[in-house]
Amino acid sequence: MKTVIQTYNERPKHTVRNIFISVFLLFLIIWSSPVLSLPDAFSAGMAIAKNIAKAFFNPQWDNIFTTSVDGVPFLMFETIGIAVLGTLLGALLAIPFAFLTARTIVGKFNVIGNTIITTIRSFPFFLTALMFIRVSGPGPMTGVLTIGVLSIGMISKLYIEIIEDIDPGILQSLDALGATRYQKIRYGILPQLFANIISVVIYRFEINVKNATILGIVAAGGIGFTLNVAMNAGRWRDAAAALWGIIFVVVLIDYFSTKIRKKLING
Amino acid sequence: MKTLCSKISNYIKTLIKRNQIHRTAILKDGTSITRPFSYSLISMIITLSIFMFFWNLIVSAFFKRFGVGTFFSNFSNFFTIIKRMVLEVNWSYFNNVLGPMADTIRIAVIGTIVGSLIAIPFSILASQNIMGKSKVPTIIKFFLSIIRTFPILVYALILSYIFGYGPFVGVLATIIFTFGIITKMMYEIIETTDMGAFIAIEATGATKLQAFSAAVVPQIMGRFYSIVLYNFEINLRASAILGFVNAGGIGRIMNDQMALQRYGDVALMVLALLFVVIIVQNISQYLRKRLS
Amino acid sequence: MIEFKNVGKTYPNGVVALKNVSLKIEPGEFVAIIGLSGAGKSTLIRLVNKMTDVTEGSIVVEKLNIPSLKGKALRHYRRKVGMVFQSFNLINRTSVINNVLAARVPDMNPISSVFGFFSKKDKLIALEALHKVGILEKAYIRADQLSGGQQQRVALARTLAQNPSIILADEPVASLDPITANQIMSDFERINKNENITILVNMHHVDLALKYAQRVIGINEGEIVYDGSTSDITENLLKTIYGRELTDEDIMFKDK
Repeated sequence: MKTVIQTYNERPKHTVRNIFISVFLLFLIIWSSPVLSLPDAFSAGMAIAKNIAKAFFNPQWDNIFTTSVDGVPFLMFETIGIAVLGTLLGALLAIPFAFLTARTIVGKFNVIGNTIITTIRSFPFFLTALMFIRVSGPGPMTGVLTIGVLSIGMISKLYIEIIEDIDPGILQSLDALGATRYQKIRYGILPQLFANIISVVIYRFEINVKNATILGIVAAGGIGFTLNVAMNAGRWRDAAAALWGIIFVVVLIDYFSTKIRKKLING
Repeated sequence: MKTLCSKISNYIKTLIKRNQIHRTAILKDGTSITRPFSYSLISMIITLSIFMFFWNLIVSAFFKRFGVGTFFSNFSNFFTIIKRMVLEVNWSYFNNVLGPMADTIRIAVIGTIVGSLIAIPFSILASQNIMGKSKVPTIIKFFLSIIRTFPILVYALILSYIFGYGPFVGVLATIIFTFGIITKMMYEIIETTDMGAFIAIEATGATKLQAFSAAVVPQIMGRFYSIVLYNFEINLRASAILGFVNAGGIGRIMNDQMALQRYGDVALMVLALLFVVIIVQNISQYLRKRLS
Repeated sequence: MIEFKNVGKTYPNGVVALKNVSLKIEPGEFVAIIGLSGAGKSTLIRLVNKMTDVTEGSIVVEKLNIPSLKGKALRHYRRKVGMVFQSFNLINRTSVINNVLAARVPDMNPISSVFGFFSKKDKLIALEALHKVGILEKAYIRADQLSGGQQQRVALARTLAQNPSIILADEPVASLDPITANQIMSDFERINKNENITILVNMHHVDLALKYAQRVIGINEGEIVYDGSTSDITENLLKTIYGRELTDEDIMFKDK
């Protein structure tokens, strides 16, 4: 029987680990600190900040309540459109990648697929947009292609998870019933996957709307172009109108997406 | 007009009735069972019409203006760029990449650390179960949902007009972005934590803050670190494009070299980025696995 | 000494939990409160450390008027009143000793309490408490890896570590198997005798209450229907307390 003092002296100590982590973090912070140096033109910046803040609460109402093709509502529609079509394109493009990477299908060769997917995921998407501009020129079509390629990474990762997760028990039970391969897929796999796939695609759509709002910065369509140009010209009220457009659409989509996904998961 | 309206409404009524009969099965012993109404057809029609609307707005409008042929012949441009990227990787550009690449990592490091530190108090204040009946959580949640509407680049864009060009803007944008995400993830975790221990420690005479740090913190610490690591991965990818709006990091020279069509230089930058991202991702995934 | 004077408790939803309860508990007593679930046992216990508030009457503990205690004074009073719960309420994902140390938190300075820097003295108090309930060797194991009985012992050790003069136990053995329940009850008995701590324990199981407590308080629909020594209780009195014949679920060891 050990005494209290003995137990106290035998307590596990993490001193080495803790010192290592602290030193590493300290080094990381010191090494990174140069980015904290303040740029010179700061005093002028405060005046601009005041103007931006003022404009934010008094945006260019004419741009918000208009149906013209350079008004905020139309551009937000275009932005949503880029996200909708881009997400669908991504959902299609992801299928082959997923099947090439699922461990239950290709075994150890999934390394190749994994590398390709990681590369696509880490590829800065503004670069992709700049590449697609050579195909479809400036405009929303480029945005669609970019968002499509950008979505491959996440959607295929989730497809793969789903494929590797499929409950083999259900397939076996259908085998026992004497089902054909098509029937197995139609009645065995798809019902299991449907809710999952839809919820993943909706989630990605939500992210894509946010991405589509900034693609315009490299002229790939959507509200971002107007935002960038307005800010460049110092037309803060026009920029504020665009920002309110983004807030309105993103909050709305966030609300519905969360609601639909909750319903899908809870059945 | 009136007759037409009533005709339509009658037609809809019969449709609904017929549908209900269709959904009802009568068993041999006379019991009837009605299948619940399915919205799948309606939602399919809505989805399809949304799709067609946007297809018209963007894709067919594009094809009408430029033609399907141009689009596909232009696709060779895309593959030319990729081919040149692969074949002309410019290794001698490496020294120019080093500095901006380091800045990209630095922005992600400082942004993640500061952002997550600020997130700690706010995620406690946003948790209804800790704050009792107070209205503070509702207010904070409202502001958080607004903060999270903007992508990181919009923050960088706005801040670059206030603070001028350079990595400092990138850091600020990353802090705001990280703060928004981590606070949300953390209050969701705190609100679903088992409060039994919290109540027990409060019953020993501890203040709310003491009970929180003694009873809730040990239960959520692992997940907090894991969320911070996950956000560091996201921030690293995001800070690579911050340079496109002059907010520091590798994106700036990427944009420049792309405009100059020096695809070999761009390829090297992509490789460097890929290298860093894969290393960070692997370390982070290893640590996150150990944390859970 | 704990004294209830005409205490009543009505919840905001209109449920009357206690009606006109008056009782006195001397220091060092081991009191079992029995009755059906929903009879008001839990409310009675939670009134003692003000986890719920009275709506009528007054409660005096060691000359302190409990319903009027607030903030710092309330926390100071709670230091002396330990509480054990049916669901143990341990901190998961952390070690047994950290669970016990959590009871030392209110006495620490704010900064060390937030960061969890415990002194050697506190650690020894915690280990001593674990020793008293016989699970010293589990000190550095994660609490959620222990069995139910061991977890309840950790909770008991946590209470001992705050050095209380009263321990309140709200159905401490309801989610344990009979043998473990017996062990936990004898832990309570030992602590009551050795440390001279007043113990108020809620329970549903009559046989355990009669076996360990010196005094039984029977509650039916918010009113005290019996208050007296364990030895004086009869079959008929139990029927009044429970408002029906005793069934199997009121007894832990069914064959006895």
